[in-house]
Amino acid sequence: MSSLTELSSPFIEIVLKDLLSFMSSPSHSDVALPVAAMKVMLNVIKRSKAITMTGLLQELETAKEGMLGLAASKDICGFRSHIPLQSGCELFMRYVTRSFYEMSSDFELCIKEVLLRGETFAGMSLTARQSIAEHGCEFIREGQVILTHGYSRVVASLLKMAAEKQKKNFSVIVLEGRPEGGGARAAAVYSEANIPVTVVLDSAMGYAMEKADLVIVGAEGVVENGGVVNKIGTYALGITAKALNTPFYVAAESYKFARLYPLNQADLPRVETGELRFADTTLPGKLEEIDVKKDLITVDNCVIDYTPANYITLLFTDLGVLTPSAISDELIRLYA
Amino acid sequence: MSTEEEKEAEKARKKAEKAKRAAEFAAKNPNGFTKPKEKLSKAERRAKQEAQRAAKANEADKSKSSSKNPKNPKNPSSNVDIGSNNDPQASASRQVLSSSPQTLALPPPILNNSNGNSNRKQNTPPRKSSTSSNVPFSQPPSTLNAQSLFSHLSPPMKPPLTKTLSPPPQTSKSIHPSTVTLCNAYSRFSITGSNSRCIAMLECFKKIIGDYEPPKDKVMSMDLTRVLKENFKVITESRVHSISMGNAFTFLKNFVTKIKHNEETSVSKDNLLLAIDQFIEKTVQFASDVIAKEGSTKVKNGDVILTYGCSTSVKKLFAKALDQGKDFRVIVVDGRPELEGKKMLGYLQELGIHVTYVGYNSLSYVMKEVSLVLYGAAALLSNGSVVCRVGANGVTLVAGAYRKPVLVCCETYKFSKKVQIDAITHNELTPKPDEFKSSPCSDWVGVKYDVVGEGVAGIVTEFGIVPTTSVAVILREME
Amino acid sequence: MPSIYSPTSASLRDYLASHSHLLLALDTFLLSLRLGEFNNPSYSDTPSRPNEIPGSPSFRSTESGELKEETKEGRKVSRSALTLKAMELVRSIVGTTKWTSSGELLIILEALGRLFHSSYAKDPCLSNTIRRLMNLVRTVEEDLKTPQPTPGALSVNTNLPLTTDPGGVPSGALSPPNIISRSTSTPSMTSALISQPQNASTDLLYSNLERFRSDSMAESPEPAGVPVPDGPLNPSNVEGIAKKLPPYFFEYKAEFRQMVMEGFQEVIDDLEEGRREINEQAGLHIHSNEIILTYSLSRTIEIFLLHAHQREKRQFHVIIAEGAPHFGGHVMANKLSSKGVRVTVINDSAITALMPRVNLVLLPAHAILANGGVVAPSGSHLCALSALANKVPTVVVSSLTFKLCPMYPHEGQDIMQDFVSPAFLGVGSESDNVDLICPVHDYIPPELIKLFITNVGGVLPSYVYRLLSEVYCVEDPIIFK
Repeated sequence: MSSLTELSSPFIEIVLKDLLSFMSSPSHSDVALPVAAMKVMLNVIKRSKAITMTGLLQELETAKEGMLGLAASKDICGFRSHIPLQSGCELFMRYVTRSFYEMSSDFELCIKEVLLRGETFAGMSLTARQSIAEHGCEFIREGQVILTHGYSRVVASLLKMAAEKQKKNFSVIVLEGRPEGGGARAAAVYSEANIPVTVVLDSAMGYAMEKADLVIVGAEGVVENGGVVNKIGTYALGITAKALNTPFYVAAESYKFARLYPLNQADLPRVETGELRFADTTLPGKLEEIDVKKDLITVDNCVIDYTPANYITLLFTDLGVLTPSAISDELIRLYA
Repeated sequence: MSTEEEKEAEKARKKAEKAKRAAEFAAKNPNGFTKPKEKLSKAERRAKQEAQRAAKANEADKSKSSSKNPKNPKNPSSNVDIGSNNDPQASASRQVLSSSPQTLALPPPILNNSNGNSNRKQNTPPRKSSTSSNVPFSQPPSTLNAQSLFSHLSPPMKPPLTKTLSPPPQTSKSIHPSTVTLCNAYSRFSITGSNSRCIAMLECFKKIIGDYEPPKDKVMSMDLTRVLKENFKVITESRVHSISMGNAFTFLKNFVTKIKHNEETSVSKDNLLLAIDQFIEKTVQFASDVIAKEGSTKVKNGDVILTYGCSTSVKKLFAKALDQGKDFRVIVVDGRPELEGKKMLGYLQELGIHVTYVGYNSLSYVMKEVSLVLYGAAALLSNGSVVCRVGANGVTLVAGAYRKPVLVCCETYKFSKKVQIDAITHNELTPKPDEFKSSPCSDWVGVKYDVVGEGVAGIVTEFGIVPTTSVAVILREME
Repeated sequence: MPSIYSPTSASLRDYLASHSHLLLALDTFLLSLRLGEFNNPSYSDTPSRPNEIPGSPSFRSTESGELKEETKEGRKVSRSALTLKAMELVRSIVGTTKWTSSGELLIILEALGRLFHSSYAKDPCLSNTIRRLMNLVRTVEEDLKTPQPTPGALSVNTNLPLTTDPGGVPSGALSPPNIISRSTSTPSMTSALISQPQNASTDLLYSNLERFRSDSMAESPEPAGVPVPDGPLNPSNVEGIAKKLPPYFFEYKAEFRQMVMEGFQEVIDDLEEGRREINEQAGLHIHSNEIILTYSLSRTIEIFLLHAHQREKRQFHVIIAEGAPHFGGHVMANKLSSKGVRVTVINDSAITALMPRVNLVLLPAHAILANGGVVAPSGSHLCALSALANKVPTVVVSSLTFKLCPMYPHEGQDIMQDFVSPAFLGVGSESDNVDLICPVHDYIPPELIKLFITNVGGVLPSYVYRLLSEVYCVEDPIIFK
């Protein structure tokens, strides 16, 4: 254990430097945070001087904690949740532990194997989006109207594949995605892919649902019972979709499967969030902020919510199209 | 003191009386107090009445054609032939019913209408269905089956095979020949649809009133009422009357009772005929015009409208929407075996509207592209249930599954104070279609009406579009 | 003996060139398929006049007398008979030809699958059977490849034992027991992480195949830089799914042939015995004095009800909806009532009127989809909706052997759809303004279904995806194009 404190500061510094460089590297401009984290973990293994599995695991654990700490900061993910990062790291470590148990003979060889498989795993994660897109665009038919929420790169790649590769004609309604305006940004991306897109207020989801044929959203994390944790508003979208009998699909990579079992919204892990600002955007001219810094006013900027499994029709993952009950199966098999 | 003694004596006396009564009862009923025993005795009584009536009827109508007796198509194997009134064994076989745990209470056998109204007064069925149907009922088998679900309803009417319906001798004076024609038309199902049947009935009554001459010693209002009632009963016996017909008849009766004594006959008759004409024009025809106008506002350009069967108001609605220059197409769903939607199909073809005509099984397939579902109603009940052609409930369900709005067109004269939750408590049974007559599997159940409890977005009436919950309020307003 | 490298029909015929009797049998079978001789009544013509409805005695025979024959026997060739025929044909081809490795066998099966699909696309039963056989081959191959203690090799431990399932299904009951109890083809993170690279289906990985071949378990490590051999081991020579097979699939193993043939026999037995296990559940679900509603004609349900009536001696009453456009309800009613079951026939439109008094709804399935939804005769969606509204349980009775399809209902009600003549409506029109359509199938979403009664027991709709992964491999094509 003493070696751990020795490792702490410089070790974590290297780790974080790695992470930042991966996130900003030009060849991986679109890389997801968890994938970058896994690559960092691989580097940790490569650099590691540990001679026992326990030591290695401790190093990985420290690295994970460090990354999680950084993830909460604005620089990396702008107050998004750390759930995918955590689930990705946990998955990787689980995998390392398992390989070790299966190959208890030679530590050196085990490391070699782990590195090789790790590369594969990282590579798969990169192509995960592509295979999700392949599965998901089968569900989009000609002339349909698709409702989506905020800006999810997985959903974007799915829609782009349907439009560009499969040459389907469809249109998209996107909810603006306050407070970071993800939906508005997504609209620009879709229009470049020649998909007609309508941007509406978040509050218009009930109104817009009538016109929609299906709903596709991304996910920050997929929890054990098949529900998803995603940007705030997804839960309401799921309820509205169910009320109007519209299919509700979630597109998520498999490393987002998390060991969480939230019972309700209050049961979600706390995420540090930033400030929420309000303005009347209908007034002409420069935006004037409405002052809410008064006594008795609390601003609750919740950025994520939990959508239970019964509102979800199907999940598109790189492992295939899964029903919500299949998710718990997967997690049981992996972590049992 | 004495009061106490008195009280005690009183108590003792009462006890003794009770014991005596119990002993008497035990002597009478060795099996104890069991309900079936009661029924047995009632049935015995009825059987006696039956036999008496049978004897009378046999003498009276030896010349009656057998066509007047609707056969019982449900149980060809049972030896209960409703038409034959002289089967004392029928009563015995009916007793078997009482012991079966599944069957409902035993209504008394009501004889064939051959004897006119003489039967009506003597038979008071313990379980009166809300439309007092006077028709004979069949003996369902004593085991659980689909027919026993409907043992509380009269058996399906089979259209008579011969052309003429010779009127019964006693009441031949009251029964107008046009009534006979009408009965033929009804029982052969050549006039169907609540509006058409109502109008046909009123036209028939107009003829009756036109030919009516009050006897010297009778008050016109009472006598005319009697005549009308008799005719109405005969009409009902050919086919159970619809709620629209019932309401129209109630209106007519009310009007007749208000005839003044001292008025001249011709004046009264003219007033009556005028009132009937106004009823037909205003409450039936004008109402459906207003409905068409109101409903056509819900039709937008590019709409695909689904309709079920054939309804006068819906036809007018389509014509109106077409007049307004709207561009829409119609999907007509039809149910077997009546296939009433063909009339709607013909009408729409004449109008030049694009029609898709599908069978009932295709509902789930076509519902996807529908924007509005419209159909007509036979009646609207006080609890908000809509009585319509059988199959409309399914249309409403599938429309609900696809979240399509459902509108029902119904004139206010079809509103009724009755309540009904499902389609089984009260309905009209249909006879087995000819094509399956000699099929080895002889069991068939068909009903005429469906009750739609929920899923209807609104009712289009001449007062505008109202929610189904407002029916009771409107009824009160109308009074 | 030429090795078969590509699953095209031309190369299959070349391969079978020396077995003329096999080629003849295959061609005859395909021709019959195309001519519609095996047409399921779902796709056959509907009666064009009311008196041509099956069960009606005033039934006029057509020129070919086909319809009349159908009435007499109920069905000319049932789907299970068709599947059995196909299985026999496949078995004879596989048994006679001299393939040497599982990879070649898979290519043969894929070629057969493509041929069947091109002749008879509308019924998925043949594709499902081929897929099942392909999975069988893969499983046998994996089984034979027992882990060897070579240094640096990871042991294959992809499957945890299936102990308790929500549906109470005994593990491995679908596939033939013993030799085929494990499946390495489940898409799972576990398999993605730990087992051989071939289970991850991306091209990226295949390009890594070369690199990893030295690590593969079946053979001693080859030194890197060995030239890629010719024949099926050369990736550019094979097509179709064989492209993604690892090299040990192309090796000869002595016991393989026998094990595969045994496996085939077990699949055939499964086909023939499927109904027995369904019938055994009849007593569990049919009680006394029940009113059961069913829709149109289904042999499975007919036998199910007869079993309950004759063996279990349950008293119940069946209401059968006639089931336009084929009116199979009348045929079913005649058959059941002739055996003493109390039956009543109703029109489709009366279903909703009678539903408040019904205790149980039994529906047949044409196909069972991956999400637990069902393709059933058109009109049964309405039946299921009405049952839901009246809180009556809807149970689908169907054997899974060839009806389980690994596809999702992308097209909604259009999935596996076909259309027949709506002549029974008695309306004809030459006007452009009138359309007449009559679909044959309905899609019932899984939320409307309470339970599946299958040859593997009672199954929840949410569990169907699991059964899929036991019978089919994710690598095999969903549609044999």
